[in-house]
Amino acid sequence: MSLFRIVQKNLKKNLSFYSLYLGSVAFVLMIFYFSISFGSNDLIVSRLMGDNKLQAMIKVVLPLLMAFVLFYMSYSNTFFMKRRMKELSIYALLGFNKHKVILILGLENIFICLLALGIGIIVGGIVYIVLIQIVVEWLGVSLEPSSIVWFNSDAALITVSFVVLALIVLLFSNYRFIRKHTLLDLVKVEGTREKPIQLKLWKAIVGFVSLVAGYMLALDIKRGADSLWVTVGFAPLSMLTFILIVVGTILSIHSFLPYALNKIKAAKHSFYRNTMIITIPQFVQRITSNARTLIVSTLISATALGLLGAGVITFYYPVKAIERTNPAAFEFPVQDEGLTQKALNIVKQNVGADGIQSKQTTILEVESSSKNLPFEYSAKEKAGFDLISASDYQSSLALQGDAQNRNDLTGNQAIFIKYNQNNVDERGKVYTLKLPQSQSIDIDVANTTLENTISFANSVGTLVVPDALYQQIQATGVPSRQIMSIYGEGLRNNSVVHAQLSPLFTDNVYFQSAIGKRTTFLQANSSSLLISIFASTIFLISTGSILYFTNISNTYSKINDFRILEKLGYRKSKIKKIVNYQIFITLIIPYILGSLHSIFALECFKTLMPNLIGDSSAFWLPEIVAIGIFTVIYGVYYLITQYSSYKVIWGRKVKVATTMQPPDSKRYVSSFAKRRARSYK
Amino acid sequence: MTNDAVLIAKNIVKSYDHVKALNEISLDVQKGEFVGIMGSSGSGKTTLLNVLSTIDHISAGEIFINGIEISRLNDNQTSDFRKDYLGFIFQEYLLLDSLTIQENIAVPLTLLKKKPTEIEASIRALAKRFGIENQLHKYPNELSGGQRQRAAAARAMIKNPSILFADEPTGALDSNSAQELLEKLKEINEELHTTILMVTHDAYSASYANRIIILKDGQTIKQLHKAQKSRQTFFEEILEEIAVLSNRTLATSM
Repeated sequence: MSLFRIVQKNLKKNLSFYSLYLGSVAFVLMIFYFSISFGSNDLIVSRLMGDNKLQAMIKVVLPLLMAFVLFYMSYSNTFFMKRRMKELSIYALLGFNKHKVILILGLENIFICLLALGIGIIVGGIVYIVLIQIVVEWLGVSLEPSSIVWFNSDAALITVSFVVLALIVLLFSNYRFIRKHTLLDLVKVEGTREKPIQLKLWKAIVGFVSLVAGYMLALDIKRGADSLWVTVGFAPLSMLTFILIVVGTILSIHSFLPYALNKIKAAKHSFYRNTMIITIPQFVQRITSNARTLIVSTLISATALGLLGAGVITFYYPVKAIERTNPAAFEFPVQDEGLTQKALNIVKQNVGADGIQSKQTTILEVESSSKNLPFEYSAKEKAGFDLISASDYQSSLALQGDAQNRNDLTGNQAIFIKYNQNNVDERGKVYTLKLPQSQSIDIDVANTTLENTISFANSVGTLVVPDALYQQIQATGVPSRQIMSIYGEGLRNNSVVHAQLSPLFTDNVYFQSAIGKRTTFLQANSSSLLISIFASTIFLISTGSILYFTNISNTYSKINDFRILEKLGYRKSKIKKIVNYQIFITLIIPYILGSLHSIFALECFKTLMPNLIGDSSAFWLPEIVAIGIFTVIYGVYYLITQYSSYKVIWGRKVKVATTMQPPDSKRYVSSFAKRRARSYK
Repeated sequence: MTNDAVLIAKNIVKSYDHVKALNEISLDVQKGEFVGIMGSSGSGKTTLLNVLSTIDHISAGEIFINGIEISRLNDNQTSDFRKDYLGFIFQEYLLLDSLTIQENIAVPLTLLKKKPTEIEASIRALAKRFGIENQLHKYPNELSGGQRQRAAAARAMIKNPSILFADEPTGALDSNSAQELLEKLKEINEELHTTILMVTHDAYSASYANRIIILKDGQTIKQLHKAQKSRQTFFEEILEEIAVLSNRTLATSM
């Protein structure tokens, strides 16, 4: 039989086992090819992202992705090798030398990778065309139909080069594996019991303490100026937290897991149950490789979730915060009455006189002689408080759709408008305002709020004061400025009005447009969101696949055990339960630890971003999105693994080495279902 | 057929692709009996054991164990029946290699939802009987073949099965280990009155049974009874019968 014939037969025989590997590699290559094709379309990218950021990011992220995909392929390949030990030993017994065995494995890899490459490029090309059509439609860009081609030679060349690189890595890895093992090793390694992990309590404790310390350090950043991140430094603290989490994960899984399993075994009441007595020992038997897989999966999952969450946060927060950064649809300082009228006319022409509501607010600029002033006081060109009257504030809020009455300030009371949600509470503080002719007045901060009516470009450190006090201060002759805010139904999303207004305020940073701001944010952040979604999806799918191969490999090695259990009187449903438990254990550990790691990492990351939107439920949305996607992907993997495991155990081609196995196992399997259901009792 | 019959098989037929592996076999096994099934390769002895023990199904006929017609049971009922009434010893031991010997023996009782204290007490008693009390915390691959088979026998016996099926239990053992195991089987048969149905091709192993059923081409051709004979005499009788059958086969084929 020729080598090609052997390879062909092997692949055919192991088709179901290889199908997920083929699928996942094809998926990764599809994303790979698509990303490069998409990134090289200058017109679309510049319209969508505003600049060349995507190409730049692809250049940074792609090598990382390539390294990871190589790792994943090599990892999966090792599983196949281990599962096929006996088969390889038979080749050796038949007289194949090691070079020939390596050649067989190499040819198999070449076949699978070429198939995956073909699928990846074709599907990637189709996805590219579909997405480009959608984007063209959405942006209204006119593109020559001939310029949209599914096949991009540059992208294909890079993808093919990558596949060649992957094949070299796999070939080298197989070569090392085969060279390292003797014929006896090959025969014995499949069924040998792994060396049990030596249980050391100190390792379990160090692991647990490292994890808790890592989490606490991550949260310490929330203490603001007092936090170690500020006092010691960001770089050393981030490195220390990272090391603590990684060490904690490794030791917790490596030592805590066996410790927990031993505890379960020691608890006779829970262990002497017909599912536990099988599940726990079977898991323990593969503890060394399982622990390694779980550690890798946990760390990759946490990275993927962190990346995804950070991408969503960077994209979602600024967009969500537009309600605060731009409370009005359009806003500009009133410096030229003629220009203001022109602007208002443009809006009226577009939406009609009834569709526009405008509000001019006069802001009084006052300095303070107090100490411990809020950071907002000096977070602008000229330090000082901006004073607006309570009635102006109230009417502006009403125009924003908030009818609640807040005009209940008395005397020298004020509401302080915070820039972001932070740990500083200004309530009860008294600020002394400096007035002309060496006069001064004390203001009591009665309350704080995140509801601003003027954009932060035009007013930061704003105090809302009662009308009487406002007029009293205004009468002293303090400097002031007027801000025009324009509201109207649907005006916040009116790009036509924006396009006509912006030329009036060229180079004027105080001209604020809600739609303009949203477009800027979308352009600035959609590339990073896109990359983070691609990268994290690849990471999550790869870790899911690694766990899939682990489980299937474990199931293959336990087929005989399941057959024995059937003979001992285990119902099929009970055996399924055992299989489900085992799959569940391998998925739940990376799921819980990965989610926890990412939550703490994102909490830390969020602190670095100004929390303009307050502590609302929306603040948790990125975490919910990331963990939601994680749950869906792992849920799908659970079902796929479950299905494949059942197929491995009860599939038609399963043959078990026992003299009591009937010769027609196919019939044996199917006959059970057909047997007449009558009670024996 | 008597009222003490644990197993009754009536005219059972097992066909594979129109070839009859078992052809109209009828037999019954009395409570506390030790029955050996002998025959040359392909005679149908393992097939017979498989269908009698619910592992395979028959093409025609009826099989009753404890008065229950097992051929009418569905998948779950068959599993439950094995769990409640049957014990197995296989040539390859079929111990679960990820479980210790103690855990292996405990498995049938966990299926019966026995209490941990009860399980451990039963294991201790049986381990002592089978001489494996010092091996309980070891894994199967750390034991000799004989010890493994005795552990498998202990696992089969732990739930006091109505009938113990043994398929070539000494097939993979050296002569000393085989003899040790057979002595134990005889002991539990005599002391605990466990009903045993053992398939073997070995006359020496068969001589431990009270009755031998000899199969040929899927049919019962002869039954030998030990009655009051010594084991040695019975052994010689079996050897003689095998020689006669072999000569007859030789003569027919010439």
